Amino acid sequence: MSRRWLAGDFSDVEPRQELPLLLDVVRQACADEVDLRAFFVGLAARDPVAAAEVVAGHRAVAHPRAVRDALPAVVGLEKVVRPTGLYDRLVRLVPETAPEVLALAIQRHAEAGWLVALCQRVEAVPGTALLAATRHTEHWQAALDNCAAAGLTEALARAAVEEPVLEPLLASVRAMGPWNALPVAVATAHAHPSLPVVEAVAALIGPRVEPWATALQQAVSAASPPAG
Amino acid sequence: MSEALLYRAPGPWPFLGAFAGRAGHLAFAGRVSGSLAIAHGRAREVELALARIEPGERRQVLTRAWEALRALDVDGLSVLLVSRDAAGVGISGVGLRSLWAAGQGPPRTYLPSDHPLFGPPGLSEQRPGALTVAQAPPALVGTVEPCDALPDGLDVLRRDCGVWP
Repeated sequence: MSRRWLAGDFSDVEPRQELPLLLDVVRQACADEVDLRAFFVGLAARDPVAAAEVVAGHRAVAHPRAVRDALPAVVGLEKVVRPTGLYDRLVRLVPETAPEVLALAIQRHAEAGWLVALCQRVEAVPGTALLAATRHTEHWQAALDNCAAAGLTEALARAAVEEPVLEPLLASVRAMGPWNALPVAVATAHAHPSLPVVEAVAALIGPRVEPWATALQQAVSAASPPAG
Repeated sequence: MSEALLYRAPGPWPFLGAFAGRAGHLAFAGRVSGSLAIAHGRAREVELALARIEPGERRQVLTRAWEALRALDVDGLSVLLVSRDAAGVGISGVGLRSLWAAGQGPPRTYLPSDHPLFGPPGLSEQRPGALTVAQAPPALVGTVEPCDALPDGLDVLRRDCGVWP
């Protein structure tokens, strides 16, 4: 029975009636370092409610393998558990695999507002993974806007340094106003001196930016010269 | 002294080439066209030029302002000029599509849409005319696009005109 289940075959069972047994299989497989991917994918296809209970329920096995091998089954799991709750539960269940869970959440829900809270739970600099993963994709602007709305200036500043573009700064200014966005502006201007930072901000928020532009200039001057 | 404001334009750069300021008895707000860097630089030149206008009789102040602007030869100029002296207020402009009175209750249209003050951007051979009134509202708001309504509340309106606290 266990071998068929590990192969993803649940044709002869009502999974909801065998939850303790299913959890035992997961526990044992984790202990024996047995691959559980087919098990979770098959279970989610047969009965996503039971699969969600095994993967993320209150008795779920808190082991990196259990979480990691359950990730290919999220398509099925998301049919019965709201993504925001599912990914949050997986992140809390096993912190060690949280970056992988976050990466999958980003891959599947790059523009979701709740991703920012997940980033804040997982990352030392929240938003970094989201902005890196969505760069050069159609989701980047939404990711920038969500990070800016949450005030994730450090991640936005890092994104601004990565390449000479104004989008991280403009999203920050729109969401936070020019003064709160100043760290992003400093990072942008420092890393890419040729970008028209002041001109862009003035075109975005209005012409009376002189005090802000002075503060920017002072901060950039105080910073060390950009590498390279 | 009435404040001169220019309402944000539609599009991703609502204040591209925008300028604003006050000098003596002249308040002004406007914009010039051009790329991000060029329009910004030209707008600063306009600000500097208008900031140097000497105080005087309100129509004379407007005349000096127009001469200063003509000397700059900027592209796509839209501007609202408001001058004041002891006798009253002078209002002039180009490139405006509507003019609103603000600061005393909800904004209301200040001039009918067919008023000669309104027209396309840019200076023509003839100097723009001026409207003289005894008193003006706390703020006059010009728009460069047709506009049916402006937000209520002077703080919100000022921010939409690019004036931050």
